[in-house]
Amino acid sequence: MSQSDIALFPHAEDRYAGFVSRAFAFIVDFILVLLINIAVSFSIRAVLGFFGLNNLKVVSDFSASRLADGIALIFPFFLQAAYFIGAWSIFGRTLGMAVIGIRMEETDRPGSVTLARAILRYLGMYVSFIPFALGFLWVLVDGRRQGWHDKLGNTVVVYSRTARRYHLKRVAAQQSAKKSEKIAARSIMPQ
Amino acid sequence: MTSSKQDNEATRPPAIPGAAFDDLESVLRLLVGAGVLGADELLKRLRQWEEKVVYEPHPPAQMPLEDEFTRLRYAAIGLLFSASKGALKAANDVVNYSQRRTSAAYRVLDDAARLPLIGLVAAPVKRALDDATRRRDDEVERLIRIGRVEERDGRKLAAVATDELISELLVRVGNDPEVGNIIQNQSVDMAGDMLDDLRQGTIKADRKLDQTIRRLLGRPPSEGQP
Repeated sequence: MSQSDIALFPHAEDRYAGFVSRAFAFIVDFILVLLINIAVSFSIRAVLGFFGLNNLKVVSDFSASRLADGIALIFPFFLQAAYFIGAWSIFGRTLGMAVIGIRMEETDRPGSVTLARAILRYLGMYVSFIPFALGFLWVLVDGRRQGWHDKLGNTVVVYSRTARRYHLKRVAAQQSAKKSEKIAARSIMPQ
Repeated sequence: MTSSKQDNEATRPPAIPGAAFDDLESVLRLLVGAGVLGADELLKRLRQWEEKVVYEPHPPAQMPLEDEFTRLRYAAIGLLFSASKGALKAANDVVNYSQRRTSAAYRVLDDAARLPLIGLVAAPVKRALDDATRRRDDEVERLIRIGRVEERDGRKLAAVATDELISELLVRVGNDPEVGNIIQNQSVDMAGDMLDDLRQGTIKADRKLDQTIRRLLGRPPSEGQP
């Protein structure tokens, strides 16, 4: 850990992003993926409808509109996998994580996530979700705020330096404002 | 002859490019058009606003203590409303009364004009009155025709003027690098501030949730910074 990191995160547990930040980031990503899915499904249907290909027989009785239904059903899974695995392994964060100011790194090799770890973590998300999302809630009780998928992928989610720096600045400003208020209150009190 | 000239004046052809420009007439037309357009827009908005406001049907049962100045203010406002309604009613009454009186006088004159002797005097007076009435009606009709054409043209002129002024303003604002910078910086700053606030909020929420969970599980509080 660099000197600046030590200054920013004097306690190890300050580094790890909590449940709320991670949930917000996930919601942002979820909405983004959902919008892309809707746009793709709509585009396929619009193109088929425009060229009058809805009833086109692709293979024997299998029409183009049923093919479009099939794509609309399967595509979200591929898109979601590609989005999360790609973003984690290439940028170390998804768009939602970037917005919230958190990033992901491997526990033993800070600063990056390999493709294999990203795939393992993604599959781990299903494992976390199946038992009533208990794997996600594990973030609340874990020392390093890891969910089951984090443990499977051997990754941790940490606050970005920018977010942490801003947070510390705001806390310092609030403390200084409180001090000033106290001093002002003392000065106007009758002697 | 006079009538056909007046008609031509009221239903004049559209302005020919290069034709003589009457500045006073044009300014007047623009003022009328802008006033009419503005009044239309204002009335439209007023209707919308009136629908939004829920007026209380009755005055409050117990009046609060009011000083003399407040009572004077209320009286002035009351007078304003009463006067506007009263003035309209009075104007209406005057017009109706004058019409009633005129028609009664005319009936008497009409009857008198048919009498053998009095008719010699009354008939020319009746003819003169008829002529005057016809001239007055023609004049009013002429003014109405001019007004109708001028209002239509004024609206068009005001619409063109407004469009051009707004376009010019937008082009100037768009071309001004200083204004562009201000808008861009403000947008970026605002978005950045919102993002920072969101991050700050989530970090705080993380911290609070963590403390709550620790309390529930009976664990010692975190050593981390706030």
